[in-house]
Amino acid sequence: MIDAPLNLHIPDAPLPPKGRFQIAGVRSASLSQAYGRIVMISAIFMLAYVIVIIRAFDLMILQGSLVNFRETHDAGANIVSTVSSPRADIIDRNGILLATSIKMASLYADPHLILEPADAAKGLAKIFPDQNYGELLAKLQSDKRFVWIKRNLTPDEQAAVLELGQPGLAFQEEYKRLYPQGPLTAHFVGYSGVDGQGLSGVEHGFNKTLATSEQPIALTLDVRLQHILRRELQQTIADFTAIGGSGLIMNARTGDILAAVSLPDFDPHNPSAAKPEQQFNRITLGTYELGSCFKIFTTAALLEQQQAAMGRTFDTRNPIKVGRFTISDYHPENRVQTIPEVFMHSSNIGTAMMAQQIGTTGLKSFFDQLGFFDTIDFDLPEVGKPQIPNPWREVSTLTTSYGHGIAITPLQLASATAAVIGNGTIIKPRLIMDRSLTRSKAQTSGDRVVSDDTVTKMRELMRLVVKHGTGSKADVPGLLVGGKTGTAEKNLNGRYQKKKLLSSFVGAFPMDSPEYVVMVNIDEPQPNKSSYGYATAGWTAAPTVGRVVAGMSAVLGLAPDDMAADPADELTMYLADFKDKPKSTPPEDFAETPTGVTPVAAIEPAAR
Amino acid sequence: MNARISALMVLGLAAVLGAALFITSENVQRTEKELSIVRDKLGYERDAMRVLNAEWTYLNRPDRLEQLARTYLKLAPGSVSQVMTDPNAIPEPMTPILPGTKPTFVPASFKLADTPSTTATPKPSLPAQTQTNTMTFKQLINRVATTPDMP
Repeated sequence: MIDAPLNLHIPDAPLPPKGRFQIAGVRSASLSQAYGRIVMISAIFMLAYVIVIIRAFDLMILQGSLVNFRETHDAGANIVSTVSSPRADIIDRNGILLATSIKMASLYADPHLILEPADAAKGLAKIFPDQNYGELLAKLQSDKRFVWIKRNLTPDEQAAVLELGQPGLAFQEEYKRLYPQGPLTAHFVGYSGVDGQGLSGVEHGFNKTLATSEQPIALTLDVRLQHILRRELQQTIADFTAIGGSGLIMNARTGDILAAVSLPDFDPHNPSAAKPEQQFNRITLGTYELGSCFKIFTTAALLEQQQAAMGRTFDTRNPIKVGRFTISDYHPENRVQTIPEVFMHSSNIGTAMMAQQIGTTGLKSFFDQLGFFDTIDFDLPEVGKPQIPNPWREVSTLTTSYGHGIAITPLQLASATAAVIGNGTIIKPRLIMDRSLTRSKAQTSGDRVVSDDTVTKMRELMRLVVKHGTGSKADVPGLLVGGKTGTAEKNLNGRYQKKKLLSSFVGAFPMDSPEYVVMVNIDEPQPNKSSYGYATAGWTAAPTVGRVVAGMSAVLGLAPDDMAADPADELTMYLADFKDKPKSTPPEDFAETPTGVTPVAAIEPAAR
Repeated sequence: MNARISALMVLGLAAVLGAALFITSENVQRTEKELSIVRDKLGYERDAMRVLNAEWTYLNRPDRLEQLARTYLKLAPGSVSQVMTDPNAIPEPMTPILPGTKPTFVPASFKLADTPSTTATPKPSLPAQTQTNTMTFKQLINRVATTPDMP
């Protein structure tokens, strides 16, 4: 301790020794207080600097990786999203995309915020080769606050623009609908317009579900089968210079539509460029007089309502004349024919006589049960209303029996066929896998229309047509294809056109227990050399079905069954001109006298 | 003296609590930022996946695959004639010849049995050629992008 007066300003005073010291005196207390404060303040400042350093370290190093992502993906460029969530996808039965939504950004600039217009314009010109540097520079140097640079960029282009790091460039994002399969499913998936509103097909019919659901909607279609059907239809249309065509593959047991094609078709990305006939759905919306395909149902009605034996005969030698109508055959057999012969040779006279035996009430009620008088209940908004004779005259019963004077949609034809060769109950066609989503109001599936016995007979008859009759070109060895041809003259302004045909084939396989219904319609096929001048269904639609079935067998892995008994063999005993006809005596009813039939002799033979 | 100590303690406590609050709020902010970044990343990845899915589907269109197969493979779709339906037509496996033993008789069924089918079976053939869309996915996107919307 130094005992000296307190005077710190004396220059020659000895320096205090190093270390802690205490100045004694009156004001020593206030001095030490001041010293303490200085220490305190510098400590606080040092602490503050340490905090700043730590924080800087945290921001730059620790959080640096996160910030980097931000910068490359959206910082520096404003993104305005107009749509919050994308419209749900539409997929096929195997999960293949049919319609999806992808984000597309439109690029705009605020020239006031662009730092170096020349650099930015150079960079943009590199990304968009279709825009030139001069125009871009002019845009970026303009005096406006908003200029569009490019609408709807691809994701790659957007990433490249973000790489430029220009603060004045910004995006507006929205979802656009994309159909990766193009025209393949255009009529059924449909298309949507501005704001993602569905305008046709499933896009229209399930618009609300698609807009709100996150789950994709699965259709019953299979793109592989769809492709095969479209390819073969296209080939037939090209071969026979037809104006169009349609085809359908349906599961005969569940009613699932596995493929449905309407040609000509269109690009769903640009529907406004499509002509009306391209957009027209021939399967569900078009109604057609389907000709001899209707003989399936007339024959089924006869077998069902009269328990008719296959041997019942019909004298088809003379055309039927009712009023001013004359019913004659394309290929007259000029003899008495059994039911299998009438069906196999597609005799109009014979079928009209069947209709006479069934009677107007019977035939009408059967057609009604099959749903030919009502608009079909289906998952698409585009469904056609059948055209039925009004008033229904006596002659209507005869003409509708072979498919003239009644027009239904091809979809109805296929599902009615599935009913009479399936398990005898109504099969409702469906396009949506999830049954809870379906639009249909009434559940009519399951109503019985024909007995098991009639089903068996119809299978035999349809197999016979392919094995020995008009549909032989639809055959695929081992797969037991059956079906019925139908060649109808188109009715234009009330007149039937001899040269304008609608050639159809509705078939099913394997015929001992049908799993698939395959139908093809060819609109106005022109005869060619390979068909020996014919444009009838047997030469146009039937071979198409044969090729489709062969294609299906490869895709679905269907094995041929050479050992299976051919249902058509049951009927050979009823065929007069069948070479391998067994010698066994036919059953007693082979030559039965038709009951309840208008005597053919009573109708005057028409002059031919 | 006591008052001074307690004042210091209160001050210290306040400092500690303040620091704790600061750290907590920093943590919350940081976590929130991380969360929003993860959300952004997810959205970005989802959109990228949508595009990739669409491209993958586009590249796997049946008509395109068929065209590629026609160009690069010597294969045609299988035909029913190639399916063997009779199991007896499959040759029996030969008994192995063991060293030091007499070879056993080779069964007569070793040769392929005749095809049981009597009808003329179609040979596998290439399907009809279809017009394939040759646009790349990028071109498709650009076309979609430049197509005006329906009114």
